[in-house]
Amino acid sequence: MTTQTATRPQLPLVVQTRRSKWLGQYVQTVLMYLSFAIFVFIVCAPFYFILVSSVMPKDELFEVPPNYWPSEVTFESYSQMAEGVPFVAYFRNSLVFATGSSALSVIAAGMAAYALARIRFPGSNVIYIALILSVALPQIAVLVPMFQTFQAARLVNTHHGLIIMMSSLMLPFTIMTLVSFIKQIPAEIEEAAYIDGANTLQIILRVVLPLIRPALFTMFLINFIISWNELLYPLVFAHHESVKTLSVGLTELTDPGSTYTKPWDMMSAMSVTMIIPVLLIILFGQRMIIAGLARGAVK
Amino acid sequence: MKKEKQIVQKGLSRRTFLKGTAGSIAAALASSGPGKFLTQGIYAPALIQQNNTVVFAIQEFAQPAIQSVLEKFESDTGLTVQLEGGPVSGNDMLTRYSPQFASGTSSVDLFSDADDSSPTFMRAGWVMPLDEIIPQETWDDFPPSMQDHIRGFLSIDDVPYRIPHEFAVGYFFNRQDLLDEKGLAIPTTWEELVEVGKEVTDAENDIWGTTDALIKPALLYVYVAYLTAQTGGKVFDFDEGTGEALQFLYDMIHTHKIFPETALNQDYTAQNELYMGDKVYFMRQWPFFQGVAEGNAEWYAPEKMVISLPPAGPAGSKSWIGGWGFSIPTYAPNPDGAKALIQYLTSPEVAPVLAEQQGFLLTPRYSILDALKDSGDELIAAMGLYAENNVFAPRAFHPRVAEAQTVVDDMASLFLTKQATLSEVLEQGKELIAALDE
Repeated sequence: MTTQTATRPQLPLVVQTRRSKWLGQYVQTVLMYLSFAIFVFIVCAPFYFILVSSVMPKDELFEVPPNYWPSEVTFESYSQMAEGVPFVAYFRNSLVFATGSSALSVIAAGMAAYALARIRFPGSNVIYIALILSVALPQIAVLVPMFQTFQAARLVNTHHGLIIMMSSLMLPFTIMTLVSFIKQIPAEIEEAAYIDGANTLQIILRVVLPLIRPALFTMFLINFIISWNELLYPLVFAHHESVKTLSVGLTELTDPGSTYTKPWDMMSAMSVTMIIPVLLIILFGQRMIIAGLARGAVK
Repeated sequence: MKKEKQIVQKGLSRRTFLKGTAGSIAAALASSGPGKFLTQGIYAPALIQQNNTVVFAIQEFAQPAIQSVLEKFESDTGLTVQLEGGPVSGNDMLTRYSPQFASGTSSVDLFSDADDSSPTFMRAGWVMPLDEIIPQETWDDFPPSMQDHIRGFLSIDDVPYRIPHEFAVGYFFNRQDLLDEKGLAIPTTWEELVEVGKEVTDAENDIWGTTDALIKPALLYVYVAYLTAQTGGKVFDFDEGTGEALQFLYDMIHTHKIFPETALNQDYTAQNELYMGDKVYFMRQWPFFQGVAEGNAEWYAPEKMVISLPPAGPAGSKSWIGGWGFSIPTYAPNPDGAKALIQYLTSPEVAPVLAEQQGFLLTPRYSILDALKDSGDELIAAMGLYAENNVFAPRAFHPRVAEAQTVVDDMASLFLTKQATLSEVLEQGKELIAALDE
């Protein structure tokens, strides 16, 4: 008597390899998307919570366990916030401060970076190294001498004072970034323009500037965000309502008549209004930023 | 490569570069106008405002009350007072004013200063002594318990540098209605606090005997210092009394389970919400809570909330006092104006007018207590009750108070979260405080 054993037909080796390869790729893709999802969640969760806290009724804010979805949407915290501090004035001041600081820093850094990248003059390396070293200075260390200088020059409590100070602080990093950018532009392009009869100013304006525009725009945006969020310097150098920024306003929000509590609802509302301009700028300038960053990354 | 450099160099020679730079500087100087740069620029000496303006920094919410009494001052003196929003925390006060004061300047003539920042300003000599600026009549207007506080926390070598305008004391707020429902009396001792707490706590439904805001920084310190006042200890000495206070707090949380552990992540706003959410039977809280509760019109009723003496610990019924006060910066641009204004605002005639309008300007003074005795104000009544029973204990002083408070915060947190034993935190706390003194 013979017995027959049912055996599964063996797949050819090529098919097996192909299937395991497909499976590997599938798992890899799933893991990648899962990682992305976790990353997005970690990044977005605080923003979501700020947004929800700003439109949640106050008594739901402190429920245990926390309430992640408001029972009703209310904009009361926004109106209270606008009553608590001169919001429009602070918003305008922030806009002037951030735009002015980032514009001045990019213009000054653009010129300095071109000089450092292209012109050989005695001490250029020393200046460049000094700029790099100045980035390492702790903020708090320069606060007292800076205040003394700015007070003597009557620059405290003025828009132009704040702009000069902030742009000077952002200058070293902006110069460093732009120098590496300009160095990547082949000198032959400038030589060709020179041979064609262009002078230095024309070369800078018509040849170099268009080529480094993405970098300038990227640095403008980065500096705008840094200035927009800056607290320390406006807190120390701006005391009048006419120059105080939103970040300072955030520290001044209180519940009526009390310095002992933090009005988290109003603070969330103000945070949302602070985030929106930055988000809009990034959304509109996204392509330019990516172009700028990608070009700066390639040697 | 060499050729490339040469060509680029040819584009802007060193001579051209230097000529251009020199030309730009000359143009800038010329455009600034003759003499203007030298008198107003960075070479001018520290500028002093020779004018009739007095710049006064105080929190935005207190400005309407101040504004209401300024007309008389301005017409009497010919000075103009310019109000400016001040920081709302001691840390922000230090950040804003330290750079100014350290550089020998000040943007304000008079300011409202916090307990957390004032000792630093005093020790550094950045605020003026007030003993000769404030008339004796005004100092005498403070009752003895406040005199102790002024001599203890607001002075160096018995010379005061700050005069209180706000009064912060930990009041003991009870939910009379909830206690009545259960037929329970307000606890008067630590033992009763635990007993009643056990009776009413229902942790599953998030109902607690008591709670507080114990989040770091500073708030955990506040409660530990409050309990330490009741043991008779000195919180910055990490002595036996401090140990007793820490152990009692630990027991309330972990042993008797009448105090939620989540309080370690709770601030005052969350604490108040818990109380007004009918989840807590009694709690210590600053006076501002009365205003918060009254503002919650749907919830508040006078018979619901009763302020009683703090449950007595081994050293009795005690609660430490603190609060905001006025100081004049040493480098005030208009010191004479500042002196006139501080005298006016703190005078026994004006102080009650301010206190009536704004709780932030209310402090125990005979003139204020007299003027407001018939007002029916719960806080005035409580102030009287606490003063009669000698509840007020002076705030613990340390020249580096903010750092010393952080030490207490950290040590208490280690113990309450079971990361260190009591003896370990007391020993380490002593060492850290000693390091601050060096």
